[in-house]
Amino acid sequence: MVNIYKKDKIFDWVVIIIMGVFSVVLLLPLLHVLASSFSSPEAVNLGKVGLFPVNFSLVSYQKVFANKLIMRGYLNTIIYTVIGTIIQLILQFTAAYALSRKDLKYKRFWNVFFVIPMFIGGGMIPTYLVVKSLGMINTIWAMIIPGCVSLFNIIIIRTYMTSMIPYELQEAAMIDGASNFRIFIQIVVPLSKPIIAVMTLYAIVGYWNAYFNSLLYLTDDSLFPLQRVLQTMLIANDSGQIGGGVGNVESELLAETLKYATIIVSTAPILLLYPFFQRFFEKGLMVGGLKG
Amino acid sequence: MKIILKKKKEKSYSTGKGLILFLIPTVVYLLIFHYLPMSGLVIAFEDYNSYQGIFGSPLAKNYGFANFINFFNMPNFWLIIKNTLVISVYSIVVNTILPIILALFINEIRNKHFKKTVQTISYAPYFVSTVVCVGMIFAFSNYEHGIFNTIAKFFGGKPSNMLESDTWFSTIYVVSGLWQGLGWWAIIYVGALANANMELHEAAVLDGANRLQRIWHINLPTIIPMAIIMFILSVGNILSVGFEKVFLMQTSGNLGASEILSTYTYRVSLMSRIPQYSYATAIGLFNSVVSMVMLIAVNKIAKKVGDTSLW
Amino acid sequence: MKSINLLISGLVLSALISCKPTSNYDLDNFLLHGTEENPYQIVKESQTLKIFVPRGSQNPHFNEMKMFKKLSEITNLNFNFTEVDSSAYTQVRSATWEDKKNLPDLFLFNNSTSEQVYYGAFGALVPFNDDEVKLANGYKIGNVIDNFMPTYKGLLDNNFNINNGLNAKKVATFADGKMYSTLSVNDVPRDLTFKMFINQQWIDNLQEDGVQIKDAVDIETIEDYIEVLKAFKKYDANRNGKDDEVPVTAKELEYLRNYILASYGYAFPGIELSGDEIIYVPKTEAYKKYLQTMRLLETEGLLDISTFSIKTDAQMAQKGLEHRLGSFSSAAAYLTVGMNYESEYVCITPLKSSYYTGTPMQWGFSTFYPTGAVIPSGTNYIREVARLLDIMYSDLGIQLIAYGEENVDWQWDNEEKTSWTFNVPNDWKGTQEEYRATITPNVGTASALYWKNDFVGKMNDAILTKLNTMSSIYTPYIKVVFPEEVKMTNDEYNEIELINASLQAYQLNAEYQFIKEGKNTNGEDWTKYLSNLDKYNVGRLEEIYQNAYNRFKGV
Repeated sequence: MVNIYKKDKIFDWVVIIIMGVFSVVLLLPLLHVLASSFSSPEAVNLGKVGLFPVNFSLVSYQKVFANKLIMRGYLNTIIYTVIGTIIQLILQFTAAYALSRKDLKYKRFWNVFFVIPMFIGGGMIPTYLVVKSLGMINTIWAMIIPGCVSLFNIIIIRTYMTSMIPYELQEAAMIDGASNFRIFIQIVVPLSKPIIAVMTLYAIVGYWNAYFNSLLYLTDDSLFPLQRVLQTMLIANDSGQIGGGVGNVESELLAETLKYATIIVSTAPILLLYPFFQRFFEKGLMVGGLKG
Repeated sequence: MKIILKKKKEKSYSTGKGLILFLIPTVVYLLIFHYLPMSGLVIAFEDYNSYQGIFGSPLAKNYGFANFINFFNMPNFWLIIKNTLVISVYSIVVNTILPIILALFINEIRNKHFKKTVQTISYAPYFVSTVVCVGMIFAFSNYEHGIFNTIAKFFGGKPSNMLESDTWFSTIYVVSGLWQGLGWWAIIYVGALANANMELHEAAVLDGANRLQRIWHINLPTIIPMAIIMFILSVGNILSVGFEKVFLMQTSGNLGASEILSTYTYRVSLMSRIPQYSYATAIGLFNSVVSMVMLIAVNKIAKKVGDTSLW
Repeated sequence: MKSINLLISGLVLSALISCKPTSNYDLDNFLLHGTEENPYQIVKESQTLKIFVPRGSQNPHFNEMKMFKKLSEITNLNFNFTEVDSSAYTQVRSATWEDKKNLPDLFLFNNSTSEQVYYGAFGALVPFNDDEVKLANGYKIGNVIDNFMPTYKGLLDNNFNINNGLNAKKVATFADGKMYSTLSVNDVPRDLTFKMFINQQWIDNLQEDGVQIKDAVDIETIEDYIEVLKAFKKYDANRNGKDDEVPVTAKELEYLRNYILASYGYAFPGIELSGDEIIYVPKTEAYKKYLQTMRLLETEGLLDISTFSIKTDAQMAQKGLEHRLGSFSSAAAYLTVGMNYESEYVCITPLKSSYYTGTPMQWGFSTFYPTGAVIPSGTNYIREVARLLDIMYSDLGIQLIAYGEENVDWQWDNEEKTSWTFNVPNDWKGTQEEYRATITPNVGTASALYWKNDFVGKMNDAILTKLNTMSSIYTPYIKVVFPEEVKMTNDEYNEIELINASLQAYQLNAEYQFIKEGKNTNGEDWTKYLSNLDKYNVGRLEEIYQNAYNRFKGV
């Protein structure tokens, strides 16, 4: 095997320096978020927090975890994410595979059929009525099924399959008499590992952050996803004085730090996932596929 | 040769037929959750009220086109369209090109740990919610403590409330969007680059091509089809700049640049005491029509120039 | 396309099947006067009412709230709540109307006037004061208020004992003479308007140093006010040795705008009724004076330089906590400056000016809104709902929705009942408001049918009592800019919404440019501004309001 990186030391250093600076620039605001979440509400509000916590305080986290619904929210979100991701991947990849095949019947019609809903929506009320008539209100399916297919992703996957997987491989298999299902499982799926990794990540993050549907479709606390629980908490602390009673400046200030803490609480688990997916982006899969 | 080809065609034709099975689940989903609710679009031509319902509400004036006429006649129509286009075109250009460059860079990092770190950092800001992101923008551009003004003062500039100016609005919007999304959008290209053909690279090295040449001639072409599709889709969304972030960034000082189609629609629908469903739907339909026209046009060009097409 | 048709008909069919026929309703189960032991009992055999409510972010489930448990216990009714998050409320409510087979028996709180105007005309709502009201099964029950709501009727007849010129009956009545909603009533001073605070301690400090300025209580004109602000700027009013005083700030000009404008004779920078004439205030000379004053505050450095970038109360509190604010508007001073400096701030009354010498005025809310409770037609439970609502307007109901049950959640401090104390359990870890949320939906939202000062104002709580006293200096000056008595047609409501959606954005931006960017209020800029207002249909806006007002006056 030829070493394709030989003789490019300078080039490597240029890449490292540019990427290093780039990462630091991206990182600074993130550190600010982290530092703010561990600072006292007063310090955050007075704009004293930079990259390190000022008047170290866990009050925001205490507030977050004092909420009875947090753990339930975590659990619900995990359930929605796991089931939703599986359904989403199956639907997207099967559809994209069919669309990627040159010999799909009425291909043009199907392509248009899949593009139209990306740009024309019926609006919130009709969608609500459909969800309601299917009996999904206040069930976990209201958080999983509506929006479980991203047409944008289907088109990306289709593009990947047509441009990255040599069609000859499939044709050869066809000639050997392989069924579509076999071609899909044995040839297309293994060669799509990088895009599967990307799409899994997209799906997980999509479900993890889903929030708006819960406002419309869920009224039962025990079904609330994590993000809804956190949002509710933020809004509750934000309102100084509406209605009968009177708030206090502490909760008003706390609302600011809470925002930062909720970001950490909700994203820490998912950030930890990334390195796991990364190995699918490593090189050499294609080569293996071709040679195998 | 001819015989083999013919045989192949027959074969693939018969398997092509069974492909419909792969489509059915998604098609059913689309019919129920997308196409069926589309019937709700009729309210764009009505004076909708929920008591008489979607199919029973009276037709709007002017043969059902009153909502569209009102929209086109509104005094700030052109201002809103202009503002939307400025933000949108700015975003499309930047967001199409920079993720590609980032992905190419990441692909060239040879130290595995460094690569992982860069990627994890670059996609992490995506999880910062819009509310917090906008909160930080306000904090950073704070007149007294804000980092932007500190930097400006350091270089001899005058401090200002940046979010009160029309001039800075779109730049602040796009740059903060880049911070959040750049790494995230690059993921897809990183994934695609993972499949760049190693044999081509090896052959190119033997031919004496340097890294830059190989990036230009091998890596870039690998991700171009994907990039073109992304570009076409984003042009299709040219008027659909999301409302949340812009809305949160609005101040009375920057309204001349920050009032866009989605924030306006939000004002008359979700935020309104008396939601104008028919009117908002008419605006949505107008947006859809523009999208489709743009999509067809750009797709045609892409097909001619880049041999890539949505359909 | 065929498949779509099939799908639609399939869905419609399944929707039809899922609708059960209305269960048999027993007319004799209803108790008009309760029982001997329990005057509050409404039904003999327990019945369930379906109630549609907005749920705020701080509210637990309604059926877990103490007040509804109590109501359920004494009335023998069960409640089946459809709780809709306030941020999706209007959408879900519309969708609920689409599905007419499954309407609730009661829409409680947050009923919009425009919906009543439109849906009332379809006969979709039960008119509370109509003599011909019938149940869904055809049984005639007559006038709901007269026959089933004696308490509410009494209150209406006495105008809820509120004498501020607003007429409760007229607010409740629509153009067709019918009442489609009960009133939501609020006469607690601290909830009716904003308060303008100024730092009296700073004034004392400066007077001590020999600066000639007026005390807060003596500030009567805008000129006096500006003199004080100027002194705050010029001297070291907070005595910290630094030139860091911010004489006046506001969150995006909120309320400061109304306060300054009022000294020139208008309370609100939009449509306002002045005498019998509707005026769009931002086109008036008075508004021009207001802009000039604001420009003066800006150029003299009296107005917080970041005013237009302040979006949250917490941002405004930034400078307050640093002891740098001279004057600001807030629901309570401690929300902006914290407990340390809270005592330094006092309220100043509405101002006059050399331009306007009439009665001072203060922008404020109406005490009555026709938004309380709506009964959709098509229910058999009109009488039960009416009785329930009547209880909610009684002393018991008023107390329950405010602070809960007497002798359980609160008790009178003395025989004369001049004050009472709220019981928060010792082991309660959260705030008082969080505890109150376990009792009533009136936390974080304005959900109450009758928020009565005669009860709420007697709470034994130093902070709230102080707020009430401070707020009461504004009560005589409150101006409701457009009377709630006047109802429009549905078309008018819609047209107003559309005009405002464009106009408000333009006007706010123009205001900014006059104040911050120094556009000239005497000359071309002003002329152009006026002609732009015309383009944004200000004339039509005034006309719509004027027509509605004239119609109302003519009746």
